[in-house]
Amino acid sequence: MIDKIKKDSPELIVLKFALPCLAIRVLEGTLAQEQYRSYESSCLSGKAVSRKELEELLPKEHKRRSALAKKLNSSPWDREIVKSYWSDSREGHNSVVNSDEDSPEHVKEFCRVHEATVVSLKNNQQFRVSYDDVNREVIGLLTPNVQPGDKVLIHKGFSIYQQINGEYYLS
Amino acid sequence: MCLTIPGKVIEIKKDSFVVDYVSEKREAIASAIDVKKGDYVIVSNKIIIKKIPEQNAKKILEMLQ
Repeated sequence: MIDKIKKDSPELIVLKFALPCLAIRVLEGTLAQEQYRSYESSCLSGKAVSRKELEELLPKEHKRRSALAKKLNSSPWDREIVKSYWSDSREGHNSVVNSDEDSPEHVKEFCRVHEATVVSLKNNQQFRVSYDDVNREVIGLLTPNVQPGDKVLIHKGFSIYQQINGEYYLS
Repeated sequence: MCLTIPGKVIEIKKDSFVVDYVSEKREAIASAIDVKKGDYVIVSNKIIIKKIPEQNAKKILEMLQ
């Protein structure tokens, strides 16, 4: 699904996909608002966050990605491993979501990474997407230049990457 | 888990809790914290682990729709 992410470093790919989880942590009260803002601005500016910081911020993600890397005889910070963790539905993030027994299906559906089509624009921060039989509003912060018909990767109510000429770029 | 979506405690039974996730109800077998009916909570491995302020829980649930 995301074989064609261009430009971004592995660290930035991880941070962008995790950004919606960090936004939820702010609402849960486990992450300070200003810390979230600094991660958000890192995503927007492309400024790198260190591997050590990400490993401490997202210990479960790192553990599971490390397990996948070990299985494939690679390193958890190998760019290909990061991409396949976030896109391979059999072994990556989506399979972890699928195996969760606590959450109802509509929650799992929300937590999986999907490729969706932009349906309509609401404002410069939000737009509506559809995939399968789902139609929902997402936060468009990371993909500000989308138009109806464009394809995006979404995760937990955020649009993460926009497809341009068949490839996923930071817009 | 990365599925940190809150549910609402709608019933406290003798040895379990019923948690409402809008479209579906789930049972939690224990709680690590004090909860009462109406609290918004996060469940992990069938155990209630955290309480979320109602207003914040509603914001998270709004994102889900």
